[in-house]
Amino acid sequence: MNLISINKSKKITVNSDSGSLCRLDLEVERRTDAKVIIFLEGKGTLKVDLQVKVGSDSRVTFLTVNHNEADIEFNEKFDVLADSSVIIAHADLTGFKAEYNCCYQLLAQGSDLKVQTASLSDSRKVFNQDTFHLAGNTSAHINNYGVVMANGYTDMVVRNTIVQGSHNASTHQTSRLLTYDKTSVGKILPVLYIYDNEVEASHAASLGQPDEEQVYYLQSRGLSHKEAISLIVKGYLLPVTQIIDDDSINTLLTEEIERKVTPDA
Amino acid sequence: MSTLEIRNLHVNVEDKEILKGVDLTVNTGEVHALMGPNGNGKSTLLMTIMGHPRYKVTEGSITFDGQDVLAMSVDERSKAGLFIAMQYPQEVPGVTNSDFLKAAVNAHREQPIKLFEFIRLLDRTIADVQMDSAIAHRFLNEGFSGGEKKRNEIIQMKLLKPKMAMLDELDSGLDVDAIKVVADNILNLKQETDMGMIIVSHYERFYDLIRPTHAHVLINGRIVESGDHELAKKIDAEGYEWLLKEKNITLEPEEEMKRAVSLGTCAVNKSGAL
Repeated sequence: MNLISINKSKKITVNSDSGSLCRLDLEVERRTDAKVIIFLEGKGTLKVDLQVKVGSDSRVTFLTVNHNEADIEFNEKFDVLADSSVIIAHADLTGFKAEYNCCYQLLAQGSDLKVQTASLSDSRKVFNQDTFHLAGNTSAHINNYGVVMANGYTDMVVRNTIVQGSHNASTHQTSRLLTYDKTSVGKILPVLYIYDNEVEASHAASLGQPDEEQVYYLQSRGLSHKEAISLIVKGYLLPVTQIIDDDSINTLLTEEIERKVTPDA
Repeated sequence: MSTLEIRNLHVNVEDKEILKGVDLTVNTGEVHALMGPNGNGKSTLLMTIMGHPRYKVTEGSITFDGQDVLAMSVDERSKAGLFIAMQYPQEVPGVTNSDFLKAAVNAHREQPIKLFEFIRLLDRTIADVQMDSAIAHRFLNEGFSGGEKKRNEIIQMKLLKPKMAMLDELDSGLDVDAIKVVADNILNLKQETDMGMIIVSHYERFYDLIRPTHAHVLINGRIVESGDHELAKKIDAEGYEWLLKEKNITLEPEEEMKRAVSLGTCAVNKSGAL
């Protein structure tokens, strides 16, 4: 087990060549303002168990970038304490299977969560995300964007739960999957469990092939059908690059997205 | 000189015939006002020329400088020099305006434009239409006001410099000052490139600024009257009643075209119901 205390920005690399199991226990100290970037690398299968406790009055961003060249299982659990703001982002553009099991617990008043996922799948990607509001005046915005390429499969199950007594909690989820063609399979299951009356909650989900009107609009400006689709696909994935204020990471992700979705690249 | 020629054009939308034999010739340097009551085929004609897949040509031809436009894909039509400023420009979330505009400019060039050259060109064009430079970094048309969308269409037209531009109710959603800005930009581009234009508008104010050389009235899917700017002025003053009587035409009941409504970034409700 690795116990890591976080009081400043940090980059963590998990390399599957060093072992197929990795347990990371992170404790973000109170009043920390930091960015944590986790790279998954290597050529072997990988299972990661990430446990994070975010101390009170913190502002912290976690970005996980999967570059592992084999299947992964990524399990993460965040406990967020009072008046802390946490941004969690996942960028998974690999051609390998991936399963993400995520549990986010907003434990105390004033805790705030934003999740942003970008997934490009030509294999099998599964996202199981649970967010629990266990105190009042907590908020969560879960945004999942995925593109399912030919013969790909993506499943998103997103559950937000507000327990009784969590007055003024606010929870919102958006999941959008763009399916490339008839061989692409996408599933979205948005779930809200609301046990308190004085709350705000919403969900939005869309699933389907690119909008014919959007494609026509882009083509009418000279873009080929492939280029138009590519631009629409980028629109699904690029927002994850804006999550973290780090030019080198943003460039890395942007270039990776460009490489993966540009026609004939 | 370039010439767009439309001969005996018949077009169906969802098995209903909208255009029933349209003939029209437009040369570069000419400005054609296309008028007519709502739901009589004006937008259908422009969308068909640009190749919208929902508009099916059942008979007739469209050529541009002798090339068969109907055999071209939508992007090939754009590269051939055709442009449509749309009545309802699409929103594309996640795609920045500048990324889209650069891709469009590059699609019309052999070699990609250099980044700094593009930035200078875009900044200048945005300033020309009196928009905030931040418009470049916003997602394409997402959250734009009606006026911003229309000005953004003009930015695209100025960057692509078409030989033949079709403006579909470009003036709707614009206030008086904005109409003047848009019209000035259109006229400047026309002076620079000698492009031809087909303009659909219901407002004489816009035609007064653009000064059409030709005017046509499209009723029941056919052009029933042609003339010059005076015809547009007469219709603005007197409406279409006199023309219907003179030509002994009964206006077919308007069946509102069902426009596909985007429910988000990918789902489309083809019923048209909100």
